[in-house]
Amino acid sequence: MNRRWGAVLALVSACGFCLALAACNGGSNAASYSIATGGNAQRGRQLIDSYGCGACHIVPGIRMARGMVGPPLFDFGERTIIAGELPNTPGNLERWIENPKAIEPNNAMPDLGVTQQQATDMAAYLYTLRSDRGGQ
Amino acid sequence: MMPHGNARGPAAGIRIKLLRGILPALAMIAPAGLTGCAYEQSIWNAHGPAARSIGTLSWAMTILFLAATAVMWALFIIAFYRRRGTLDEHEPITAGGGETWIAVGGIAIPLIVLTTLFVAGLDMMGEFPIHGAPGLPSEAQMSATSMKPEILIIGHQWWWEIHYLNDDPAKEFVTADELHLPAGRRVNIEVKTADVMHSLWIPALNGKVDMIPGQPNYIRIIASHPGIYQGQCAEFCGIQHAHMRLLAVVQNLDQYEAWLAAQRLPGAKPTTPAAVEGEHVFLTSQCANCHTVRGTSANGEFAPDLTHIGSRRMLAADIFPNNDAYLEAWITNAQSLKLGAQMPSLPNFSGTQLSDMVAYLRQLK
Repeated sequence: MNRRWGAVLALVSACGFCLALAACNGGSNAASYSIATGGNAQRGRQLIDSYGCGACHIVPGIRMARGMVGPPLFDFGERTIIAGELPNTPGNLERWIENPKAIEPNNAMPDLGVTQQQATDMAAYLYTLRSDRGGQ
Repeated sequence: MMPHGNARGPAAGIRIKLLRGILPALAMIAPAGLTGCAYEQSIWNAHGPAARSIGTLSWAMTILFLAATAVMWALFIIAFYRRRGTLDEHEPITAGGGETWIAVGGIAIPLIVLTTLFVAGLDMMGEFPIHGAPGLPSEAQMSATSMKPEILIIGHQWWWEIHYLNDDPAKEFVTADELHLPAGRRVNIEVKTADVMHSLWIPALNGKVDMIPGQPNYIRIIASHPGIYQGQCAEFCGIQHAHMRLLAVVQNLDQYEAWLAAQRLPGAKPTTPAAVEGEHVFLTSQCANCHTVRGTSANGEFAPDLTHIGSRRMLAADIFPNNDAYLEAWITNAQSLKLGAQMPSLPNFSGTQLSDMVAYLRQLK
């Protein structure tokens, strides 16, 4: 009886503690490994948040990123074309994030002053967004 | 089926064991949940004398009520274990007795506790000079003496219009959503509303003061040191009530004076080609019907004054960071960011027009 009591206590405490922790970071975790770009996906996730990409885009895994101005970025790692015209390669994506007006001068995506390294990190995060990764 | 003659079947036994496990566990989790998220908007993070006395009172109340809860749980547990026999023992169960418990626990203690808290609360309300209440200063006294307000805040659905008042009308100006205050000096604030009831609440600095149609109220704020504190509308005022926030920026006296001087200036003239083009788009489109940029032909009075929008930290009543991305998204699709706001979505602008306008607004420092 004591052991069961202890088990219930431990289980409920653990659940509560996890909930308390999750409440503070939006409950999401980016994969910390890097894909294709050589960038750091975790850092990219923070950059996407701080530059405010979510103002215009729905970005899975980013708190408050529910924008309805540009296209949603669900399963971005599986998209074939970006900006309506370029193959979705790391190089193209990084150029697009850094200076979208250089590719499409009249498009609404702003030049936010993203550096090359930052673009690499942001691209790394976007490539973690795949339907085969737990629905992110 | 339960065996006859045993009211405590196996199911009841498991339920009791679960209960015994869960109750202490919940008691352990509750404080973890409370301390898990520490941030500025808390009555226990006081940065002024009024907020400190409110914080002290709320600590006293919390400890008192936790103690009362502990006593109640103890009584409950005693009652739980001290059973009066089972049904098959056929002991007579008497319902009488316990009048002393009711008199003391149900009447005397609540009376003492609530009276004490009421008196303490009344005493604290001395920190909130509310015009119109009996025994408090009249409106004439308010403006003639040291009660005279130097800031007027008007609540709107869902933002704050902030007037910095001055004896010299040329020195008055209007801003929005970012309340600057000098540190270490008392500031009298008058509050009104343009539509429904709102309530101004900056927990780090003072208690709440309601904004009531047709009834100006007053609050005195003393911020003890510089810092940035979150405020919040504390009276339900429509669907975006929760997104009617306020940023209180407390500055040293000289920084505050410098800020006042900068805010009195008209909007900066654009210099870059993009900003020049952006000003043209701004002044010739819908924007100028509702917004003012002092020094230009834009003189709408329905919406936040944008003369120094580039100097503000946040957008849409302290909801989104004031960066290029959010500013542009706000112009073209405000309804997707704050549904129901008076700011309409404006899908008529092209990408170039949007970035030009952002360039113009950003340089309005």
